[in-house]
Amino acid sequence: MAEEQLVTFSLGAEEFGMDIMRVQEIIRIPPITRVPKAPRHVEGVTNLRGNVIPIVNLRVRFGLTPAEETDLSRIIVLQAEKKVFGIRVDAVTEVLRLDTAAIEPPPPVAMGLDAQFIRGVGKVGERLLILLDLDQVMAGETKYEFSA
Amino acid sequence: MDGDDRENPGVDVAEFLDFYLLDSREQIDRLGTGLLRLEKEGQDINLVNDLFRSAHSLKGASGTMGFLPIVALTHAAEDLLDRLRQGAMEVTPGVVDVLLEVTDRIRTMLAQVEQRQEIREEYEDLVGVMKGWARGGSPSVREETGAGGVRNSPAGVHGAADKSRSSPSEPEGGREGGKVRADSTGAVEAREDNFVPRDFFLEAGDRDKVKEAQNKGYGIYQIDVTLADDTLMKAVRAVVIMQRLEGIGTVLKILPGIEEMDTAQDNHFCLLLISPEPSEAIREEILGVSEVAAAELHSYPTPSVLTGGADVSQEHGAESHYLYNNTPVSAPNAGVPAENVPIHTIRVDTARMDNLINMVGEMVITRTRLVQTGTDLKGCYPQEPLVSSLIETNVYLGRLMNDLQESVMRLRMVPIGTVFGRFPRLVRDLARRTKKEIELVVQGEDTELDKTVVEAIGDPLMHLIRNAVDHGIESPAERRAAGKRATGTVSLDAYHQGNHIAIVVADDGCGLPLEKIRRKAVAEGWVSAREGLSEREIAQFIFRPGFSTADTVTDISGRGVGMDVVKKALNSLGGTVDIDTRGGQGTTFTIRLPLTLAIIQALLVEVGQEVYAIPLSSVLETLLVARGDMKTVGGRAMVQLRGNALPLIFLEEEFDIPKTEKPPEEVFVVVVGLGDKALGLVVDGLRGQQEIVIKSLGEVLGSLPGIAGATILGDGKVTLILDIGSLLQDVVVRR
Repeated sequence: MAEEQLVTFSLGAEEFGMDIMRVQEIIRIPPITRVPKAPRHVEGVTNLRGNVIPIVNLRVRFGLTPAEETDLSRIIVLQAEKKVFGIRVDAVTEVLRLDTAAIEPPPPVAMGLDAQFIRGVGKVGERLLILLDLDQVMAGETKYEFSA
Repeated sequence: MDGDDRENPGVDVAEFLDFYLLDSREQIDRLGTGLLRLEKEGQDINLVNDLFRSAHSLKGASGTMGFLPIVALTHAAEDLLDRLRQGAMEVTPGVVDVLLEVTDRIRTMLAQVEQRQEIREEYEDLVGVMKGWARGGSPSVREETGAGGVRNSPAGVHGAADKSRSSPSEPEGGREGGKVRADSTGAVEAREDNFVPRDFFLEAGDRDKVKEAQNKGYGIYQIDVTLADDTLMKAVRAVVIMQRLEGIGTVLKILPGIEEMDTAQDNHFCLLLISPEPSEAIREEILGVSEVAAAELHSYPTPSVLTGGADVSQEHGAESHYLYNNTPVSAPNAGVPAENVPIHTIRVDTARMDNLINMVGEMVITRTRLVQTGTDLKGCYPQEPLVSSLIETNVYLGRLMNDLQESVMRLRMVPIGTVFGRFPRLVRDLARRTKKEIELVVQGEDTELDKTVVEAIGDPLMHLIRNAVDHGIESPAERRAAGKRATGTVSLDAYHQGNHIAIVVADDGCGLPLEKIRRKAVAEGWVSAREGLSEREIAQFIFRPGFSTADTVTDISGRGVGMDVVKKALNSLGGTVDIDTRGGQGTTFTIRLPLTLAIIQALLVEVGQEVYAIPLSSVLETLLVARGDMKTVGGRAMVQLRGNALPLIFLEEEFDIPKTEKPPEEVFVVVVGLGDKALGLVVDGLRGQQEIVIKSLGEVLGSLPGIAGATILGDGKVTLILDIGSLLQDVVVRR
């Protein structure tokens, strides 16, 4: 029986799932340096043990209202191909295994999010997990969104 | 021809492929430059010999590896070169064209080999052409020149390889009734013609010794010793000889080995000796031993590339040896080309080097933190001697770090000649295609700069040179009509200028059509028709995307892509490009680039709550300016600086930095400049100067306008580095 291992996190009321193989680490919010002329959803860059990595604000990316930073706020450091970057989330909830049979294709209009970011919806008991398509979240997009 | 031998001669190709590729590319490069020289300087026998040698060893190596198309091409090229060598043919541009084409094809083939692909590149046509020419004169020529023993081999393919394999235990020199050839009166050294160097299967340590000896100018001799037929204890004789020789030099190897000697049928053995003594003395030493019938001394050829023949002996199975090339090479110091000069370099994987540089970078950052801690401690415990000692140690550490850093940085420096090297060919081909006469003058090839810069500079330079040839230089007729020399000159120069390197591409052609450019700029709406522009400002328009004034699109340049790409590429390296053009006299492009991209001195400035780093190499001075002194001219803020108007950029606005509540009466202006362009950056405060390690913002962000990269400060925070080149260029273009 095929299953996926996911790291789940929350943004507002929604819960999301991310393939654990993409997750490099989870850190508290470090000092972030704003980068002028970067795409809006790129909050800035930070120092991850000597490497400069960009931080994407997922709330901005998904068009949600910004939220205050709390004790639970985290950066999930992800790896897509050779790019390393962090995403800011409201909280990291857990690591779980999900039976692939419990994953449904994304609904056409999903929770007010752009459907392109969603790989599917997973059911864990009563909870619904939005499974993110990381490649779509990052997919070259950022490069074409210069504000200038 | 050579195609019927499809068998790969039992060599584990993969293992030697890298060596083969490296070596072959070197030979191809040598052929390429040699051919251009040949064309320029005409029939030079030494040069042709060099070319022949290169083609030959390329052929040998390719044959061993089983790359038959390359063998076919080099074989035909060799024949052609041979005819040149015989004087049976003239060096004409046509011949050089074909031979250059051969190098191109082989290069493509090598690339395919590297990709582990079949060789698909076409070659029969070229071989056909060359064969036609080579046959052109007297066919007998080919027979005579088999002297190297290569063409005798049926396929002509494994020339070098066959020879070494055929005689693993029979040194050819000492056989065939000539056992007493070199008795006490015999001439020894002069007989290089029949001499075939043995393969001694040297190990790495021995090869090092050979190199060392070469450097010291010692002789390296192959000595063939023949003992009298009735010698009983051959091994003892051999040991005695060895002992004697050890007194005057170093015996590297003896074949067959001492242990095998008593059982060997042959009363013959062979030594490899390194010695500072003259050959006469050595021979006397040997002949002094009783029962020695003959001793032959030969200078042993030691090609600089020890992998030379890239041959692998089958008898020695899996063991890998790098053999000496069997191509006959005359004795050292006999005016042989630079091939014999050992190169004191090692090849290091660039990834390893980058890793080292990163680590040094981290250490620089860590040291900055240590210094900060020391200063903080001093504040808390001004009287404590331990703190003073810490600070002292930090100072010393700083000095060491500087040295270390400099040495490491120097590792990354490569001469720009590696890039310049490909342009003579480019210019030659372009000139021939455009029917122009052009001379390329290259200077400053030894100027060193960072590897990454060197790698990135090639394409922009190529663009500039193409433009110079295509648009700059006029046709010979036009030039004569203008009272100029029919041959146009394109010059390429590189030199250091403070912390920067300047690369100059100049031509003595017709200059930029400024009026045309101006009209174009007006038509595109970049500038109003009435605005007065300096020549320099007009010239800058050619860096606009989509700009082209070429009336006809040639296949060389003028397709409207190019100059903007050049500018972008240079900006991304932190450099600028300047144009100086004079109608009818030519155009000069001056490129300025930072020497290194990894660790730099920077000035840290504060703007609002943010801190930015400005490369110190671009900082000219800092000023304190009252707001009242700033004027707005044509929508741009300016300040008078020693009689000149200095354009200002408010970083606050440029970077949308949240404004401070109450703007101060006086602001700091950092005057930055590259070349003769200057610009003032308005900031809130200066934080001082510091060494920073440049880090890229990464692929996710790509390149952002005005930002060259990021760095990590002592407190662990990321700070952005300003891209002065692009800011400057922006100002010039925007006005």
